[in-house]
Amino acid sequence: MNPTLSFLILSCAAAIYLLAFLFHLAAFLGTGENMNRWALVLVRVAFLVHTFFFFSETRAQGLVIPVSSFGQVMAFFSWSLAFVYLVLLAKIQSESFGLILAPLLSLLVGIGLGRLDTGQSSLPAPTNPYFILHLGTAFFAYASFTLSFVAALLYLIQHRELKRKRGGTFYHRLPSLEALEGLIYQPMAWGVFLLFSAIGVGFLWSKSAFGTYWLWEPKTISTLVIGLLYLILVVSHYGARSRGKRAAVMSLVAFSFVFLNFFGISLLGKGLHQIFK
Amino acid sequence: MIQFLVYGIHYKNCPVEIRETLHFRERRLPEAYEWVRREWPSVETLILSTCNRVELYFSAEATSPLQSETIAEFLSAFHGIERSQFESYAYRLEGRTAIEHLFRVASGLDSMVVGENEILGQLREAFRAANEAGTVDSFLFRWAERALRVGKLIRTKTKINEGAVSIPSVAVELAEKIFGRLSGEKIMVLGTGEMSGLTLQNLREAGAEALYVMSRNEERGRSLAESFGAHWVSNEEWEDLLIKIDILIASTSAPHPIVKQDAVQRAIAKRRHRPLFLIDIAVPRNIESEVHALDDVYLYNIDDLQEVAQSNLKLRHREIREAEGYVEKAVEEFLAWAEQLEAGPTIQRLQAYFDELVEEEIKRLGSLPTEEKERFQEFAHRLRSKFLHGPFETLKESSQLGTVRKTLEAIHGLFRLGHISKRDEIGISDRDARQ
Repeated sequence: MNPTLSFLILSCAAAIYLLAFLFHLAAFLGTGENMNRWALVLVRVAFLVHTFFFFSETRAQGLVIPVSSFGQVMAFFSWSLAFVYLVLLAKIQSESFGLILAPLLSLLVGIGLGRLDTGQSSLPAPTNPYFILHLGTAFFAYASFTLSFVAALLYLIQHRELKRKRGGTFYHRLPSLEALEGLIYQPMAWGVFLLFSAIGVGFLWSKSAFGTYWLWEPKTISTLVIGLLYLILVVSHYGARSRGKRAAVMSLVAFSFVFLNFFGISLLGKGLHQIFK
Repeated sequence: MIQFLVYGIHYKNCPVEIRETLHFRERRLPEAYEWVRREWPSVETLILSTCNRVELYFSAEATSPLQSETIAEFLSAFHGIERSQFESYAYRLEGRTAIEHLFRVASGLDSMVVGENEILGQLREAFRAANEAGTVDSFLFRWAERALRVGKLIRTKTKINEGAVSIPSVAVELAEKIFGRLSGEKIMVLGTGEMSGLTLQNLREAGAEALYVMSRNEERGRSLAESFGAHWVSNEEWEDLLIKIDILIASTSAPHPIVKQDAVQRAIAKRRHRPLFLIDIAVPRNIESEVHALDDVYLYNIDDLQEVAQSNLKLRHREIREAEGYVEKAVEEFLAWAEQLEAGPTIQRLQAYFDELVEEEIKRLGSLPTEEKERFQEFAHRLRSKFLHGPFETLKESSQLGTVRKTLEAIHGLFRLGHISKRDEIGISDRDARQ
């Protein structure tokens, strides 16, 4: 597809995500409940535009998942995030989630727009079915961890509000601690499943592409460590060993590793998993 | 012309003992309505009597005005109270102000606790009683029905009724902010004070479960426990049970804190940081304030609960302006409807007047071929419609501007339609009026 047209479509998606954020913000500041409904409609519209961008890029490049530049990597990651939020979390969406996710989506797409055609990633072209599955599951795992992170942030805000005893705006607008705890751990459990699936499929792809199941490089090692860390968190939570504020803080700590893994490892400039050069 | 009137007293200036005396008890309401029907047969009446207000709503032809003295006399005779005791507190509202007042009452804008829901139910009940007694007809029916509708609309469209504003309901709201929708969260009560019983009842109604009641007075403790399906526990046992409960209500008369920080700390560790909600409604306080610093422990004393209630009330006050917009719109619509209805008899007379003229002219033409007669009738019908279109449009516009009376007088004068009559004389049915 014409690069200018791609840029325009993605810009459109970023602008609509931003508009959705403004609607959420207006509702949060008390201008009426209708604003929240409109904000959700806008996020859905932006997601459709975002999806259209991928279909057109897929057709133009002949790839199932177009991630040949840093911009495309960011666009795909933000799309995965919107997908998990709108489809997997459809039943438990809340206005407070939208308030944080809409600007985050807009920001991620915006960053992607800045390097849509430059900053080529070192990721191999996703033509091998194992590799396509590996990419898909890994990105959706990161998206799930991001949602878990957002819920943990909201949990700590509500916790603070309840400790302050003032009954402020956040107290009224945010869901209960119990609901937020569910929102931390449900996506986290999906994320763990998806991440281990990505690791498993990655072994198969590595074997077919390089003749070995295991590649010794920073990203594979750190991903395995992160997967184990999240697994411990999920097991300890569902085994009723970790609850409340401590569980929310642990989710934040775990996500900081995800962030380092996603962006930080690329800065080392070593290995296959370079999302930007 | 229809007159809308409110006569009453309310909490803003009338002492509670006067309100109590003037209150219409449910069992005496039929008697009151019987009196109203007998004494004021042409007046539509609705009595709204709550602990905060006693108000009588009337709708009547302007030709049969209801004097304040007459209403006060009725109240005085019915309740056996001197007029001088309440007349200085009474108010009389008429026309637009009266209409607006009922809409504000239904919306909770005139309530002691802004946005409270109870008044809507009370008005609905008063409306039902008046309807049953047969003292509401077309105008008051529409007035009350619109009030109920605007009251409901405002509660749906604004947040005027959101946020708890009483101590027990704030406790429920906080519990729901911690545990989500309550479903079987376990409660322990320390002490048997009235407020703790009330709070426990509210929490139970919201879905929590009373598990233990601790009281030094075993008899009273057992009695409270039994009434809530809970178990009585002694002063030596309750501390070990902290790990089994989610909500603790403390309201003993102990002169010093009995729930200590280290006990709660031990409990929360054993609970693996499952949140614990502590409600201290005792004065002096029963729970050490340091407890609140513990992670996953939320301690609210009576002052904290009151502060949350005040904050919620402030939020409700922010919604007042928006709610008043809905009231204003509803008042305009109601007035336009009332004025249009007033124009009904004139419209019918004007139409009858033109039909009569056309009929006369057709008769004068004598015998004509059927085809030609039909053409003439068609022509006359078109002419009548076009001629009446102007006056009808003017009436519609003036009813929206509130000047329908002048337009009606002009039309009656121009076409010699006689005096502006009551709707009954021309035969508008109640059903027409209600539509």
